[in-house]
Amino acid sequence: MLTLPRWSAALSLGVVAALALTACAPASSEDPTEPPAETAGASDDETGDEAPAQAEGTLKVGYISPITGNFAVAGQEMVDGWNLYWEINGNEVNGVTVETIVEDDAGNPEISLTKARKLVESDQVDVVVGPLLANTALAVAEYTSSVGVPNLHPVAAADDLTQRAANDFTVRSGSMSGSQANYPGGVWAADQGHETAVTLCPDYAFGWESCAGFKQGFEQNGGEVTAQFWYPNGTSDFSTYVSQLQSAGADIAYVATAGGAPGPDFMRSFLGLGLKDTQPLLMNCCSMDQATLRAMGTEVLGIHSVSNWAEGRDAPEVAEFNAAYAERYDGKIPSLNVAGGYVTASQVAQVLAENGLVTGDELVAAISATTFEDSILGKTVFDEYNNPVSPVYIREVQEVDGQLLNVPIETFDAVDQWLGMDPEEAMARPNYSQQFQG
Amino acid sequence: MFEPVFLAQQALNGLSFGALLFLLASGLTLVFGLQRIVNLAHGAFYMLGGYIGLVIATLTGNLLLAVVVAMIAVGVTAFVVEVGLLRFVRGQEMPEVLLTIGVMFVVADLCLAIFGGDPKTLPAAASIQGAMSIGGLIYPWYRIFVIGVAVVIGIALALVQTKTRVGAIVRAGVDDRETISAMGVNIGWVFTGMFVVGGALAALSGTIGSGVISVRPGIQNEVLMYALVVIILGGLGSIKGAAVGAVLIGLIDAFAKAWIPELAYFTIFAPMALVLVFRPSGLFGRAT
Repeated sequence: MLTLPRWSAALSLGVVAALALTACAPASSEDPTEPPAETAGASDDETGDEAPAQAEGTLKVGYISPITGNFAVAGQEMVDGWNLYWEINGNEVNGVTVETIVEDDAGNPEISLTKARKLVESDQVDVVVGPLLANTALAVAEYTSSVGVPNLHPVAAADDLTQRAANDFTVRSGSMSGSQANYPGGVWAADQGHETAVTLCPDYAFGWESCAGFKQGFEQNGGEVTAQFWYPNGTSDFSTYVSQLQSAGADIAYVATAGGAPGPDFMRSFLGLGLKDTQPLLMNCCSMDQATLRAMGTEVLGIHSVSNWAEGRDAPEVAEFNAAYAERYDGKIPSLNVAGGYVTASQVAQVLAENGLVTGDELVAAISATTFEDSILGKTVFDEYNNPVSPVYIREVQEVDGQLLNVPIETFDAVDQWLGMDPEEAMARPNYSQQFQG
Repeated sequence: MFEPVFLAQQALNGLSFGALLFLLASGLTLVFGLQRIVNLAHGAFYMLGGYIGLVIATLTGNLLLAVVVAMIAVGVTAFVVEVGLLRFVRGQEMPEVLLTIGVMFVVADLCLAIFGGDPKTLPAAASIQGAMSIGGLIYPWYRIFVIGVAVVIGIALALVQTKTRVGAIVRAGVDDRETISAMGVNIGWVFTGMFVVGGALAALSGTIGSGVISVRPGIQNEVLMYALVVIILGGLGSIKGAAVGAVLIGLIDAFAKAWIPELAYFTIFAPMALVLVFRPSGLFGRAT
């Protein structure tokens, strides 16, 4: 009685295994024959780069973003920004059609890498854009550079992408490194006459880099950071940290989050303790983005933050971008993630318009060599590590025509990623951590 | 770090977060006590209640109305889940638990589709504004209100359990289902009723909690984890245990994050692990 089902189970297992084998066999026997043919074609293409014959007319883009999982909102925004540009301007530039394949990595570096391999090997894309999170971005950049495929980063902030791991195939197109974007915040805070500061950042690479940027900007200009607090990812109730900020009693508090719920959750505790009128505060990009403004409403009017994106900047290109996004997305105003995707698309378009179809490291070199005068992020050039040198804005939440916007109240032009050092000196130091803040 | 004002503020931080944990865990522990199933959809009920409460609070600016509507809506949802789904697998532990996981996924995804991905918090108009000020100590009224609600709900649940006929039936059901049904009580409907009450309590904590931590995709797992830790620490099925466990975790979490920040990742779990080592059934649990 007992042996029969077992036998049948073993049998069916055997059948399944056999089926799987036969199903795989033709595929795997086909595979070895196909790639040589294709790689031959590809290498032909590379050697004959000056006269691109086969691929003329299409730039195939693989776009990796976490559109499911915990970072789904940010990931979807990054995709929306990219698509928005092509919807407005059409996906044909200078005779080149831009084709996009979107892949979801769910914010997991292993999946990112698998998707990057799939895009490069089976879809044969010319360029990989994304992904979003620092660890996924570093993993994909390492792979794409090893196979000679350009990799554009609309949002990822990890310092090393354009520092210790910089290469000719990787460009940070739409964002800034974590320390770079926050360094001017420290400079500004010191300029305001604040002598002491306390910081609160998330306890992982993005937070260490953000806090390090602020701290060095502040201390190089005569301020002193008297206490630094670190909260674990996943913190929801910030009251205990707000009490510590208050107890530290510094002239200004600097607070960073990586976007999403921590921004409103921190503000809820901060406002609850009545600190808005007594404790000067500077937030980073993502803790005061549009999601926070939508959640908190007029309660956050007047709050200051530092970012390379300011949706309230008075410039025609920003107004046009905001209006186009609002029209398609229920009147919402775009966040830094949308802006990053859009900026990356506009850079690709401008390079195609000026150079025709360029691929490989030539695409990266072309982006890096171009000056983007009218970028929605402000005038942007690139350093020799393919990192943007562009403005950073000190922003204030203001109500403009019934909408809450981050309006720039001070602009730091042409901010580079070296925090006042020379590149070799900066990269010889250890990576930022709780222990090393520069 | 040791000034009286700081200590008092941290104590209130811990107590108010603990109060929210108690509201959250009480429904879960009640359902577990009677039905012996861990309702893994509890976090999703919290989430659904939070979103519905926020919509009503935004529309009307009335927190009480928001809480009532959220409790009714989630109560009805829990009723449908119990009568339409759970009944068919009653008594089979694994299918029951798996079914509640399925309900969690469905509810959470529907919330994402309907309410979007933005984090949402209680609008200022519906919240309790201002801060209490005693000497140098300033503390928001809203968080004191959360403590008050938890005390009232806790006392009410304890009274119903010990002083009323309904409570007696429930307690009898916990001890011996067969005998209570032999005595002419339709235990099936008692189960349903308790499941609905559990859902309504989750909705209450979701709406009240949205003034402390924002409601967003993923919150269902986070609060479910908190609730599980609290009831494991306090003892499965015990209201008293949930109260003590919630306050303990709230206070330990608040002070440990200030004094030993290196342990910030473990402050929720360390007390649970310690209690499990020395009292595997939890502080107030009964060994079975």
